[in-house]
Amino acid sequence: MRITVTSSKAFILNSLEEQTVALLRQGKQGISPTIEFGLAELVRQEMRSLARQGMAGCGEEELLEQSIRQACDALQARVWARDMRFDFAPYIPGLQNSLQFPAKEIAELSRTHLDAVQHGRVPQLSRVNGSAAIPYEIFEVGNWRISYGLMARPLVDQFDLELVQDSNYYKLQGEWFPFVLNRKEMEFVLNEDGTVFVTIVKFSSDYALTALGRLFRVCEQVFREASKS
Amino acid sequence: MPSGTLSRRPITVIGTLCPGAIAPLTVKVPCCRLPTLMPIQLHLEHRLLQIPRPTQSLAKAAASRYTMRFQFNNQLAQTQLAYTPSGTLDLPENVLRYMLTCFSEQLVYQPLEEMQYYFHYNTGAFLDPGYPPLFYARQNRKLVTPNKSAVAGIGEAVAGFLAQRLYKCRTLARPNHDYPDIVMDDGTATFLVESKATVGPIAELAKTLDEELPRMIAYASVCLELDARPAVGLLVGTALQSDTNYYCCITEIRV
Repeated sequence: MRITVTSSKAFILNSLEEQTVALLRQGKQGISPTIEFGLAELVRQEMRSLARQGMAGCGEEELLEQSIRQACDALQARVWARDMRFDFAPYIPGLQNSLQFPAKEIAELSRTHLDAVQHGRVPQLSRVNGSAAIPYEIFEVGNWRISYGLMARPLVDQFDLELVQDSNYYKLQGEWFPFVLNRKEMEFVLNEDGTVFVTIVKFSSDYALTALGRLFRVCEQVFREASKS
Repeated sequence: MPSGTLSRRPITVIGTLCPGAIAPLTVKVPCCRLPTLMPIQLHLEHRLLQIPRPTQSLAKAAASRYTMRFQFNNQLAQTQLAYTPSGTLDLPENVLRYMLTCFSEQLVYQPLEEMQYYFHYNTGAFLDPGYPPLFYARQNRKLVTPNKSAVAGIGEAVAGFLAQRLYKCRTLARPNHDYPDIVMDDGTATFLVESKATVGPIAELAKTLDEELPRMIAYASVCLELDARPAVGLLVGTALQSDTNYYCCITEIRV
């Protein structure tokens, strides 16, 4: 089964680009609810990304403004590439209004996280890179006291995945996302954005080590046959 | 700790912990026999409502004015409203855990364990020694109820899972504490997914979903006017009957 996998951000941009172009061709006026939803989601993702980079220290208003600018610019660039013009200005007041409190929350979380890392209350995120055809990284979700799971994340925005029903390492379950890759009763969840997740909460550290080893093997298998599209 | 014998079988993992490292990383991991997790069985019922224009307009009126609901319900009664059983779908617990991360807007720790604890209480096991003796000191008509955030979170996760699996949708947006719960896209239409969840009877859940119809139809109708593509409303109700059996009522609304 060959499936094209895109990251969440790439999918949203692709979808909004198509819908914006379709709106222009249909000549529809007014605020499109779906474009508004999609833009808000892009802005939330930008805010989270900027906050992780420590940008939120400048304040929630600047965080929100910069995220809105980046999201609209990214979409505008797509539309321009198709020789069209779309006015996103009417969407901005709604975005500023609906996202002011999430911006405050994210900015606050960014400040407390920076403080927690500096004082050693949370570990620095350590990543391990894989070596399959599609580059990916694996990291732990959790802290010193509890681990929720291990996640593998592809480092490209779009690629084609080749999934086989019974590979020599795992058994594929499910007809569509989220797929389950089962290896000796350990279940790895392959989601629509290409991430692979295995839960390790409630289990021992031996289980966690086993999960880590198998996650590498699963990713090497899944991403080995993939190709950049 | 998982039971069973441990054997040590080294595997070699090639990777880098930090830039510049060139030595292969060798990780020795023991092999453990793993506990078997029962999948959760989703018992599905489905109905498809094709809503003509006049009913869409009535829905907009009913969403704003309660007295219009009577007119709206009369109009809708002419449509086939009964659910059709649609089989069962196995949902592995580990998939549900990940779906909770993807779709739940509740800040709740281990909602599945919350529900397991609640269902365990319902078996009467708390009468045995070792359990807390306070929960059955009921006052008046108050019932012992589970963590509402856990129930709601699981409902949202199940709704997202079903929309992905059954309709091959992808997540476009997760409106924060807004309407609907999830906005998805299958390439041809926008899916507006709203979730309701309960531990109560299925009949009550069906009634709650019926009450949601005016709002969802009205909103789907607005999207049809203003968007480039049609919108499909998905009302997904989940009744948690036990920790391994959920009943899901799916109302698909096409305008």
